[in-house]
Amino acid sequence: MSPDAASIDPASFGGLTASSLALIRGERTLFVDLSFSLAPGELLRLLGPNGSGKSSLLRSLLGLTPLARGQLFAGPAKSPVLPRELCEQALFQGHAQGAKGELTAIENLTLAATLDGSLSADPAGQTLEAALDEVGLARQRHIETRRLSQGQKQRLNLARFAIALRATDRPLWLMDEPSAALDAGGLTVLEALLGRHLARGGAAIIATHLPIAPHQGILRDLQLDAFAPRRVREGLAELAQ
Amino acid sequence: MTELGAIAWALRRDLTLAMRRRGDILNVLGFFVLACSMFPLAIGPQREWLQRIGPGVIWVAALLSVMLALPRLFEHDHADGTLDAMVASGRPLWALVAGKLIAAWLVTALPLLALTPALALAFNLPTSTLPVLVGSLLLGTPVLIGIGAITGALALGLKSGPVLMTLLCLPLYVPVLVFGAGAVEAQAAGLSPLAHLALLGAGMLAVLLLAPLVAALALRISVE
Repeated sequence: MSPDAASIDPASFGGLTASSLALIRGERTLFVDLSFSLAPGELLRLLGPNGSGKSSLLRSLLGLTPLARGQLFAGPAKSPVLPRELCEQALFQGHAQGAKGELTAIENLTLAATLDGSLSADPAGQTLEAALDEVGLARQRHIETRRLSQGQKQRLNLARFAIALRATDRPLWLMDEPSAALDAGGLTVLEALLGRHLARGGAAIIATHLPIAPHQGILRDLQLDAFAPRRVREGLAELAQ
Repeated sequence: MTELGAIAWALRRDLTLAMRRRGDILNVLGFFVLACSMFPLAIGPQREWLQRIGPGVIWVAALLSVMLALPRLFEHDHADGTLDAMVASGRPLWALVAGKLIAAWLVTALPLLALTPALALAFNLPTSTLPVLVGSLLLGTPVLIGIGAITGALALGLKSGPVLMTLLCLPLYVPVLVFGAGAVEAQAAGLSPLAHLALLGAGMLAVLLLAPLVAALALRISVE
């Protein structure tokens, strides 16, 4: 049985608003004039074909990829923020696995959770074990990560989010294809984690191809190819055919 | 997590990783010993010659050994996504880089320093020059690693990254080599090595201050 998630004070986290974002990679404009608003308790699913800029949008929200234009607003007063400032409130899972193959599952998790700052309190060892248990990796905890399957590695990433549920300083979750390589059981774990996060007043943005739908919280979709400039949109339509 | 916490986090992480990849450390050490010990074999056992070239050879070998290890500093982290995670964590990136650089120095340069007395013996260097040799390496290797980190971060993810890194590094390494080997030469010639060592020390202080900041900036550009 997993412990209750620490609830997020709505006075400290007011969601995220993005207004007329544009992103250019090299010579290609991925999207223009993209706006969305995300309130606490909401899950925004980024949809769209490969290459429509889902990963790039997630990365640009944290300043990993520079936005060509646009403005982000966050905080209780919806004040303008720089993508880099958003990093401190966000928990990011990129499409690369983000774990060191030479380290064991529990070592990787300890490193990641320490960097997130979600592992500061009480008996840290117990927290780690509980999180690994929750994602079904209890028996693999002392196995080198490179020996884990892709799905197990993805579950290890989920364990990081399970630990983050105990801390409140990163209310915004950004996940790039969190369902990749997951089996049905893993998908249930992912949806349960997202549901608990939304229920406690957090928010999440995920890039996905699967209809991930947690039982709690409000679901919203953002179709990215709708914001592609016209010529790119035609190209994407051709691809889809 | 404070700045100090971030430095400690990266330091502990990279030391743990280095312990899991001991082969990499041995590879660098092996190269250092091999490069140094080839010279007496190639040149012949004339004492004066060996004494004459010893400091220079040890310095060049140390420089090349450090260069051998440097491309790995950020490359693995870049490939497996942990570098992205570090940048996206919102922790002070310069502090994370500083921790990584300290770890790199402990893992690559410190073992070289430990082996240097034995190699100095092989070149029949007078024992009076030994402290200056080790001291010059002590001051010079952080500069090598700091400059290597900046160029490595700039060249990260590029197709011809390693080549670019070598090209960028070498001219910047020349002064370090000149003053490092020069300090030992001066000592052997009965002059004071202080001027050389002071310049190396100044370089080290500048690199200690600037390398983490500049490398962090370069990393932000490279992860784009």
